[in-house]
Amino acid sequence: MDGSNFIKPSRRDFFTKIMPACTAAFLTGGNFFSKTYPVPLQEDLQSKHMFDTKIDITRRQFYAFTGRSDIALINTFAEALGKERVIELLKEHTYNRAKRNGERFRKRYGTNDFETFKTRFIGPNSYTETLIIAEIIENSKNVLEIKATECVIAEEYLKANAGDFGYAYCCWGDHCWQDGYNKKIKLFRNKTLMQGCDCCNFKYVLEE
Amino acid sequence: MKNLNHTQTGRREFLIKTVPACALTCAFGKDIFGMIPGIMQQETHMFDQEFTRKLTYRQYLQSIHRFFIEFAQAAQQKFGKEETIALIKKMATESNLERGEKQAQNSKDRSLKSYTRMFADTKSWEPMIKMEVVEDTETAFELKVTECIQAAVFRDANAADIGYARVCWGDYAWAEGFNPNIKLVRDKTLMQGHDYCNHRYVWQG
Repeated sequence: MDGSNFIKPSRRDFFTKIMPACTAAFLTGGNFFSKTYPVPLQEDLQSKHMFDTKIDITRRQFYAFTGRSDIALINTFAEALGKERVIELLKEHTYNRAKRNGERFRKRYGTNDFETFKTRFIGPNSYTETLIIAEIIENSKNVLEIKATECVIAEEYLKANAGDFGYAYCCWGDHCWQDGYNKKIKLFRNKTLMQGCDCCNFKYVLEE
Repeated sequence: MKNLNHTQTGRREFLIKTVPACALTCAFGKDIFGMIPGIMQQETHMFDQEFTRKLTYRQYLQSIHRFFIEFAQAAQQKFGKEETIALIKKMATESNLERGEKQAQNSKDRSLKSYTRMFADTKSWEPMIKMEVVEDTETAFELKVTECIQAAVFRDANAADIGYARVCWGDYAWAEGFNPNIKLVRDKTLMQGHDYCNHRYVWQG
């Protein structure tokens, strides 16, 4: 009898052992089991070239890697050829790139209307869901006003003390994109995070 | 006593109720708790989330180099091809000298063996690079690289000259930064259109 009592745990004993395990599973279950997801499928690895397997990377990491490489190149050119010349080249390049992207967007959607233009900023995979933390100040028939308070690209350029290059490379394109899409859409903006302001105050107006 | 016994559950009953609950938690914990992330941890900042559609390594490298290639091509037109390539090589040399020096500071010594240790586990370079060790002695270490994602991306963009200056040229400075007695000898690269890269690191001490 003594021996049997020794190996049989009491109900209280049972509670004190099982409950913590259940609690731990409850509290950390989500994290623990989600860890099994990023493992690449064997099928995926076997059927694709190794360059075409998926990479785990956050947006911040992506723009940090990209930014570092680009900023190093821009700085090298600026040291050798002068900052003004490089900014001029950057703006020229940005204009061409942004205009081309505007044209592609117009052809892809088969329209140049203002509502379709807005989907760049509002909705799934738009800038406000990927690149900037922003609030919509006005969204009307002819106006789209957005206040952006964080920008993942500006973060990287400002960290490298290269905001002026970042402005020429990135923000400048916001003025040029419409040239390829619809020239009646005008951007009015006098603040950008890239220039060290507390926000970017985009105001797109469709002139009729 | 009778009332007390009535409210208490038996051990068997307790197990019957508890074990399935634990099993369910184990099986579906991720799905159930994943729906309420705010309870367990603060919501991840948008910038620290992964892309909705995951990139492949190739897409990632294409995106990273897109601006670099376009800007370098624009610079070639404006300032001349030779000057542009020379500047990119200068950039690659400076950054890789520094990289090699930093690496040496974190190594136990500056021997050839210490430098080439990073290449020894060739599998760890996949899926970016596929290579094999051809020779590994006290005075020479040779690699044969048969696939390189950088070469694939730059060559696909018709920018092998820019890629060679940006990526391959820095390999010389990287070894030199680690120890000037380590010399890279190479006359073939995938970037230049050869069928493999023949990196050979030679100890000249």
